[in-house]
Amino acid sequence: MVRARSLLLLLAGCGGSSAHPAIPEAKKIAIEANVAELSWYRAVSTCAQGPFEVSVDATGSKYGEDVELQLHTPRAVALDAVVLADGAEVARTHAVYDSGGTTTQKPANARCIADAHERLVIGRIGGGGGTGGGSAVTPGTLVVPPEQSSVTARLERVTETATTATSIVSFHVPHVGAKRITIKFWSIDPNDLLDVHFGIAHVVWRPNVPEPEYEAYLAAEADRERRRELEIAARPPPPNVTPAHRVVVTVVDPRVEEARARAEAERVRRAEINAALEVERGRRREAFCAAHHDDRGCWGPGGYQLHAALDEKRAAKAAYCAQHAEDARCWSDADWQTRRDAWNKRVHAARVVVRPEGPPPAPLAETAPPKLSEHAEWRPGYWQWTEAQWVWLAGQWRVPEADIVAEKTTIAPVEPPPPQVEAAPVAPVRAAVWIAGFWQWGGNVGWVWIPGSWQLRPEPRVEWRAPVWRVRGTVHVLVPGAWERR
Amino acid sequence: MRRLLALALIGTSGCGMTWITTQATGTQGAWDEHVREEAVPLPGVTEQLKVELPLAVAYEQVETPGVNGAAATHHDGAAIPFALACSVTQSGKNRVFHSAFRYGSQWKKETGIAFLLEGGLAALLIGTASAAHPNGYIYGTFFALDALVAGSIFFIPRKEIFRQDDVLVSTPIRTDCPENLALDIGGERYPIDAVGKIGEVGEQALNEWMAAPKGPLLANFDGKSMELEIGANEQCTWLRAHDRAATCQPALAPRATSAEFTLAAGTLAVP
Repeated sequence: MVRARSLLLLLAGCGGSSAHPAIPEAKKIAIEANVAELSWYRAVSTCAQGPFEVSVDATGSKYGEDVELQLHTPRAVALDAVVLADGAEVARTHAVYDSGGTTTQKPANARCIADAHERLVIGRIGGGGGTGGGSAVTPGTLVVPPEQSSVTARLERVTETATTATSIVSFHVPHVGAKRITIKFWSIDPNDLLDVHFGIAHVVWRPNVPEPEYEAYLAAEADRERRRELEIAARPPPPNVTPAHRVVVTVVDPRVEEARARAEAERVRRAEINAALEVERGRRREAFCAAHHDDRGCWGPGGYQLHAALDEKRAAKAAYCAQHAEDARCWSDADWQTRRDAWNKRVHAARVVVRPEGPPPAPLAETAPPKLSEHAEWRPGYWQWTEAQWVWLAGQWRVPEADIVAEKTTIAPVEPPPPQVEAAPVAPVRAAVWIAGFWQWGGNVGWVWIPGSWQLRPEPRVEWRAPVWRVRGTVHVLVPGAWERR
Repeated sequence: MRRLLALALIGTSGCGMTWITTQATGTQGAWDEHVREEAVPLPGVTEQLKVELPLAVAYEQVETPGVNGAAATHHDGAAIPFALACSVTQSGKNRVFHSAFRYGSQWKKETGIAFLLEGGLAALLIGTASAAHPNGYIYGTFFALDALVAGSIFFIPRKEIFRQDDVLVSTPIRTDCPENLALDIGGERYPIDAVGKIGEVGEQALNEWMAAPKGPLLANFDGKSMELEIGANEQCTWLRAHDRAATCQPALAPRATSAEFTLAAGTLAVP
């Protein structure tokens, strides 16, 4: 943290030194940080989850060097980052960051992630594991089956430099360290990366004077220190200071001491007598009780007969429990504890959210289909972490209701062909509703058939209104399908 | 009349009167001493798995501290996520053998002390009473009589009590939802995890089913199914809690509906 702050201060000060006149004074020889590289990047897609990768070649400086990932963001973004030194992981971090550093807020990425309704479908369709199966779609959007090829999440270099930045992760490379430092970073859900910049700072530590001069300075410093130590050793030892002794005089009266010893011996003798008497009393009582089975004082209500009968009942319980380990009435505290531990473990496991250990697979290549309306927004596809596996969630257009009302949707110059006959596959869940396919105008490519899909109602008692093409003069205007209350 | 009532009230607190009252009403007038009990489990223990489906939405309670000495206020916070509740109980019978003394040494000590205290109190009250303050005679007489009763019950001979009862025993075992438990919603099975969750899709399917029930709603454990009864009241309670537009009016508002499985002992008691 201290290193990160010093690095930031250093970076903030870069380029400002020439504005001040040089003060002629003896320069203090020291190791100083020198910025070898400071590059800023942004993601090509403004909705992306990575994984992104940036590498820096180590200079092999004998005084060490640092590599740091920085972030400039106007909103909360979640990031996982690992530092790899020649391919081996040396540092890892995971947090949500905003402009002030780490935050407990949730990432502000509503624009980039599918809503709960969209996610529901993939829970049943399955797939994933990098195969591209299990795409969920929203009705009324053109589905592009994700191609099997994946594309690398790309960063592009930017010329402007962020004035404020948060340190995400840093790594100090010692003298004989790695040759190549790679920082890999990603998020589990896509981040909204609009105006978000990532910075890579590479700082090399070296002396502020030429190396021979620095070596000479070190040798002189070592010599000075050695002489100082010799001086200290040659000094006469300080005079001994005798501490003042406190004399405590205890007067012992031999008669008192003798009386105390006698009392102690008497106490021990009494205790021994009482113990012997107690044993004898117990023995006699046992003998008496054994000879007097009717004595209630010995055997309680019912005398010996009932006492023995109740002992038999106790033995009967022990015999029952020996044969019925499953009966909770027979469990000891340890038995209860063993069971509770096992059951609590299950509950704990059910409550734990399984985080992926590594980054998602590289995003799949997809092409945005023709825009459905004037203000429709494209939410790119991404890998959704579901039930401990990555599932590809295809991109989609989100059509604002206002566009539908204002008929600012797709306009086609010609009438659509008759609908295709589709055989609906088996429903993923019984509650799913089959949304039939329809023709969409694709501009230069002409009419494109949007296949039907199984969907879940976003809320109870809503029905799907199928999309229609309305004739408006010489053109046809699309009224996208939507869920409507019954 | 008022004095009689007061007398009756005081009388119930007197040792002798208390004993007479308990004898007259047939309740146990003396406690057991030197009790020994042995409980022997009887065979035939069963396990009950109760699965409860909440119909209403519960909310976290948020406390807002009062300003300027005002009392803190509570209001509903975030909705508690939907989850079924499970409980496993073992039920069986114990044969309990009970032996004890009644009217034993403890009884003698306490009635003896009561006799002395009440006798002393009666003497004090009567001795300090006068024509100007006649209440002392009344209370003194009462305590004297009560002391007489306490003195006489001191001599009740010690009894030995033997009893044998079959007692129902219910032992709560666990509150997590066991493995192999599922919710069948209209013929479709949704596994229930240890904390009672059926997953996003399951919740959606349940919501759909509640809006328009098709087929039964069943709790399923190890292939055995029990119906979770959803009548008009249950359905309406659910809809009102989960759908703001619901307009139905339930005659009753049950908070949950449940199903109970009776299983062989040990089915769910294993760790």
